[in-house]
Amino acid sequence: MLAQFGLLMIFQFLGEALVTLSGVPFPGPLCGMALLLSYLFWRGGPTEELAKVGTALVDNLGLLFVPAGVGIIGYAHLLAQDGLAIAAALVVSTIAGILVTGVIAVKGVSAATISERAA
Amino acid sequence: MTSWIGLDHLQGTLVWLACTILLFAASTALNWRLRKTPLINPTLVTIAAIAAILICTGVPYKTYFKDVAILHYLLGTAVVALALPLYRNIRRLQDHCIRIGAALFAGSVASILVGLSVAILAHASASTVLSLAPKSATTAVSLEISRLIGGVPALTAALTILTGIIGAVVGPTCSIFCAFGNPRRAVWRWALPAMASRPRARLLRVKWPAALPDSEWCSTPSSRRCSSHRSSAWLDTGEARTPSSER
Repeated sequence: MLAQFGLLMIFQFLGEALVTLSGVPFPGPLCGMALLLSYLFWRGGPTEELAKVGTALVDNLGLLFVPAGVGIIGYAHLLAQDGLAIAAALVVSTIAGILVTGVIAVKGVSAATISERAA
Repeated sequence: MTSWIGLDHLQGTLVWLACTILLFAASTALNWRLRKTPLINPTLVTIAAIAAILICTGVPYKTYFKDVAILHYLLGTAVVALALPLYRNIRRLQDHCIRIGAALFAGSVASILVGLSVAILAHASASTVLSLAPKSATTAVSLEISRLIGGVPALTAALTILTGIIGAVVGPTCSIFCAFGNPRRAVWRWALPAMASRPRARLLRVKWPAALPDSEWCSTPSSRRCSSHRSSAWLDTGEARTPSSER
């Protein structure tokens, strides 16, 4: 269990190190995730223990956002000043994103179906 | 350091760590009782509660963060662990990779551009605009991006969670509007999670109201509460384990 946890942390470190050394502006943990993914492909899947540790972490992801999220108390002036703009941007952009994603996904299906029928 | 006498003595005892974990556990339990309605997001509830406590007691954020720093470091580890669900579902992704890729890319670009335009048109300050840009990614990722491009990570974290909630609430409405009664609507199971970052795991198995008899979603002891949350009840569909969806 602990060894698998250590393995995750090693990939986290490798990701951070790779990003820092290469100077590419990319999130380090995400790079670590890509490395772990290729490791999983190479090994042909995670061990049961690794899956257990990973699931425990991912299932409680919400808790891990709290320390960063509470930092918002230092930016009350931003919220007071831009609250309305933020609310409008959030709602409108979310709807726009969902609509565009959905329309294109449906289009892809009809095109694929059409080409299947033609073949 | 603190203006509240007595709290000084508690420093270094990790009291805030315990407080955070307990509050999160309590709000998760509340969320479960309300059939996982996206409106009561445990993370958002915990952040609001802790923020209120800190402001009331006058404890500075730095003091709090020292106690809970371990959680923040574990966030990176958890992001690495996201490779596991991704691996588990990679085949499903591969089957539809071009369609999913194109749809997600276009949707993300549209969402970012529209969000930025609205914020700029509304004369939001530069740091607000930069904090808004990455909000449609998953929280762990958007935090990092916000830090990289010069936004306010804390603001981005809150905005990302809010985006997930808004997506969970308006997403089904949008898709019903566009594809209701159409057998191709199954496609929305892929399309919807794109924008709804946090609660999107739940969205993946959206059950359509017409196909869902009352008895099915009101069969639990909390049925009375359930009917008062009718609009969100049918969003709640248990734990879906699908690729782009893992919170």
